[in-house]
Amino acid sequence: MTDMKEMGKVYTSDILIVGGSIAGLSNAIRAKENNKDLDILVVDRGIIGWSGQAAKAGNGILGRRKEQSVDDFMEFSIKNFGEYLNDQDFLRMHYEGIIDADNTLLSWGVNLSHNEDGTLKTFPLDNNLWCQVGIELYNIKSLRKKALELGVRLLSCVQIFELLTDNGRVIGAVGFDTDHMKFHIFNAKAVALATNGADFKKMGGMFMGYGNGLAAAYRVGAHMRNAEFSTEVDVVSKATYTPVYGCCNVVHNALGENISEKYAPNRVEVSPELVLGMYKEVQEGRGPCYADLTIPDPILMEIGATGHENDMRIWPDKHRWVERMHEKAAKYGVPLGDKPEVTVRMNLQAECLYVDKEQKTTIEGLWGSGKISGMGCAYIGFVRGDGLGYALQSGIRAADSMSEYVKTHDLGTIDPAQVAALKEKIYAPLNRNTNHYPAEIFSQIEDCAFHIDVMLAKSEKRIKRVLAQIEEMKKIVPLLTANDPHTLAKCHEAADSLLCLEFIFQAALMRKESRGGRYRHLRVDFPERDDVNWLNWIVIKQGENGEMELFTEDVPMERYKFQPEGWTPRKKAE
Amino acid sequence: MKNIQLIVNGVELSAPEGSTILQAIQLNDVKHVEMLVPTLHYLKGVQEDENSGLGYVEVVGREDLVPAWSEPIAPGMVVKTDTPATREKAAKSLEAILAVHDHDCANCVRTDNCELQHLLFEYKITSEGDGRRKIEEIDDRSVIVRDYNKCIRCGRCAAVCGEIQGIGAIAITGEGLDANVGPASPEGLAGTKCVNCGQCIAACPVGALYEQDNTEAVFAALNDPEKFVVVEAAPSVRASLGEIYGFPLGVDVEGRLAAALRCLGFDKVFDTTFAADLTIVEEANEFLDRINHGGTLPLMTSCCPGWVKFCEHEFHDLLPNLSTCKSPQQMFGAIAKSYYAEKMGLSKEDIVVVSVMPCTAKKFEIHRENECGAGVPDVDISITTRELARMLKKAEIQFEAMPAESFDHPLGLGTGAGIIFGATGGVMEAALRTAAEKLTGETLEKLEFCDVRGVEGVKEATYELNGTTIKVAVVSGLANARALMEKVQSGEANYHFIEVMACPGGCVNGGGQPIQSADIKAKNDLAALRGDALYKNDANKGIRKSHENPAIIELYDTYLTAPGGERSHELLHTTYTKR
Repeated sequence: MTDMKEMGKVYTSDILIVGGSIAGLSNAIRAKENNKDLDILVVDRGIIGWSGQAAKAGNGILGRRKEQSVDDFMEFSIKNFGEYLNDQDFLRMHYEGIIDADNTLLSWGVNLSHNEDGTLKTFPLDNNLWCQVGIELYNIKSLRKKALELGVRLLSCVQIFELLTDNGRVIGAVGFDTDHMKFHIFNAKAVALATNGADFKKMGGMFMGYGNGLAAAYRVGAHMRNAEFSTEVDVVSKATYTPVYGCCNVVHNALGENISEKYAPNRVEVSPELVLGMYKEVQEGRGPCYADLTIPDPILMEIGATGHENDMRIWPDKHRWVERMHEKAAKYGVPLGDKPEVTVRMNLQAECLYVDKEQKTTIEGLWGSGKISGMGCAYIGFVRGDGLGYALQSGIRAADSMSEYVKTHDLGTIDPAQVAALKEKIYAPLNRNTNHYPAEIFSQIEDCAFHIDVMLAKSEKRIKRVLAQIEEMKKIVPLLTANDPHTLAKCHEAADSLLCLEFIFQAALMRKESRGGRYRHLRVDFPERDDVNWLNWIVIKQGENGEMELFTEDVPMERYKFQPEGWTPRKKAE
Repeated sequence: MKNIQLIVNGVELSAPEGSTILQAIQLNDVKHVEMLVPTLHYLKGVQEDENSGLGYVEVVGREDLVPAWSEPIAPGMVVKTDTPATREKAAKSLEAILAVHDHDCANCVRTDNCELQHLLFEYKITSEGDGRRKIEEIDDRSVIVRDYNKCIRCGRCAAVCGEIQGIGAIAITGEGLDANVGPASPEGLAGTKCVNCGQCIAACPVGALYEQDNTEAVFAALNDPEKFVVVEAAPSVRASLGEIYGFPLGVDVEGRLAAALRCLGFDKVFDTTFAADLTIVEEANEFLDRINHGGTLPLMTSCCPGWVKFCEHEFHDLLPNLSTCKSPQQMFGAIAKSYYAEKMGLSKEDIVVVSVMPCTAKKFEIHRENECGAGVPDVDISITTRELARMLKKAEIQFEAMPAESFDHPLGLGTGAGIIFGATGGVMEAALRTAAEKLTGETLEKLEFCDVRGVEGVKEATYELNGTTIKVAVVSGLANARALMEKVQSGEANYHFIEVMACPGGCVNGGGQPIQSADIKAKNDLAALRGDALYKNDANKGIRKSHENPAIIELYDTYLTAPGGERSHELLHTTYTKR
């Protein structure tokens, strides 16, 4: 161990959790509740309590009323979002667990909308199929408090880039702190990644993940799944760039025509068809578009702000924030009013860490919870509020599974040579003194990927063009240089983002059909859903020679309750 | 009492009849920021009014703004705390205060934890100019430092010193923002009867009052390779240090504290709890001796340097009643530089003893006469809980990331009895656990002496021990102590044993503890919450009686021989002077 201490600061714990937002902290708190003697360390690149995606997500969290049927909700999700690619076992478990999970969150001191008797106050949506529960903007600050109270260790401002293994089992991680670039070595009996996936977006105002967790997991052999379901679309206010919630059926062009009706009537969410329609209207000179919030559309009434004041997304803190956005918009002469001008926002995201019902990855000793595994777990039921809902539940599930695992497993043995090699790799960009900085990669990613015909309406030709561009960008990675910790981190973020982009487009190339709701995979050359050939998941893993290997895994449709109309099991011979 | 309903910012609240609007809001513990009623003078239980121009709200049906701190609630009253009128009024008052306040926030000990700064942020007021306003000298002649440039003339320090502590070392002359608030003597606090309790610091909304900073001296000792630096942390520190890092109130951080001190580089990390146990063994012995041999009674505890100095100023005739036992802080130092030094083969001159205390008076205590048991000062440097947090920050140690570690042996071994020293009644309970067993010769079945627990200013109880009736009293807050001592003088009160702590609620609420805003204090009883953390710690300890501490037993067996023996007297007992 003397070798190790010379290489960096060594931390040991029973459980190491990378990422300190809702998934990571729920994981930590639950594990500590399971066994107060467990030594649990949470590491985050930001300051825990204020960092992470959930720290900015004070809208609503997924909820369910006891009388609401899990089956009905499943059917709704499967038809609208997953289009039969859902892991229906996972989906059922997820929906069944919501009520307990929300109550657990409330018991941890997070301010959720509740009645005077302490029961949760819920807001039904989509014809009473499911609900949302109001949640405070500062939910992570409250979770931090709870974690500290229970004795969880929180280490801020350290970013993890690689995982340590012992005979194929994950036993730790390495990274450096973004203040002093000091090397940190972590050894634990079990490791969880709650790091968010990778996000690609042209404009700010939202969250950014760079795929460090995904890439680190991939490099130690973890599988990825459903990477091609990657594009999230939203209709946002032109002035504030924040979503105009519930406006999917009330978007109009400059002539006052309802183009929601024209391109994508009666939807429950913003659809790619609507976005493509808006794009077409503007291109043909009928822009700009606006949302008419005076129309009494049921989705607008439900998901929009009306009727939920003070409890749903109108918590005073959130309300204040929204007010400031409006103030800011008014300052620049764009009053929002009832008919705000709207535009399209598209995010490309990789959330493809393959996990099972216990949030275990395909590698021993490694768990994944929250966004990083949002598509990789394959439940695919993403309704509004489910980002928080899934992160919470997956954190709890990971904790239960990890608490059991650490009972029978030790810290393993760290290989100093492995640590030395990773340290060398991580610091390699320092003082290369080339003219290649990570910003170059990010700007090239923008150039190649941020087009509607790449992000949303894909074709083989366009995908291949992107993959060729990725190959070109990969040549820059070994040349990247940095002189300070932040740029050094960015070098690895650029490399890992690029890897995640490759996951997305390799999988998108393979899937020769169109499928999915909110994270739709849309191929203009294969515009139809193909239930004969494509009721399977695309899995990605690193091959023996470092190449990317893709293969498919059948969706076990024959034993699922909800099957596509007219579906029959494929004959084995085919 | 009847409850009244009222509506504040659209939310229905309920509060007892006779409450003020401010009390009703505080009582409902509303965390919504919109319900904020800005105050800077108001301090619950100390000074319940506001002359800053802040604290006004709108009441529907009333033409003028209404003072929330004095206006009683009425049924159906509709209150708005955040309107253009209240904002304008608050902003105007804050600007006036800012005009007399030094703006050097970056170098202020209270930055981030300043009630004024918080309000400036809420009301979006920024200062102009170069930010500095240094027109008066900083008065650092005492362990309590006063920066007149930062004083906003709220009067809280004078109120707590006069009303709660009954000392009156701080005087106010003049009115409003032109007033002068400061020591009631031209020689500064040293010229007054100030006991250095530090309650004025804890009351100050801004950075106008703080303790003498000794952190540099600690860093210097740690960086000196010739020195063997040991640290002792008082029980109360573990009950409050977490607050600085956003832990909930009343969380015991004992394990993390030990780890953090080790990270700072101390050669040994010890626990004052050990010395508290030693104090109990000595003091119980002294008590039984006085009972059995007709010594001066009531015996009064002497572990609080604030109380000791108070007694030296005010009650000369009661000095013989004070226990001659040194405080745990000092006993620790004396043992570290004698017994421990010999055991480890260290020279006592090379040992530096640093204490981390919830207390500012401890800085004064280390320089008292007769506090050099081993021929060298028992304790070299005493820092507060706040100073420790500043050291951790400077050393870039993330307290939140600390694992739970243990204190070093043997001077880090303490019992539950030593732990509860930090709460009012704790010393009494710890002493009773030992004295009762010594008196009766039987094992105590129930260790909890609940009559002396709780944060009330004065508590009393009577116990029958082996045919002897023992009447005890526990008092905290020096105004309370003064009233009780006057009764003792007049013969009206007849006790055998009195525990006195200068700070209301005991050391957990000491003047060196993390500072909480008036708002938090109005909604929470800090002393009770922190005290509970110590009682929980005690309940979970395997050994809960001081005389059963194996490290103490070994100390007597191998070194001190017997409680109250010759060596004990040399090392562990002190004297008092009339002031």
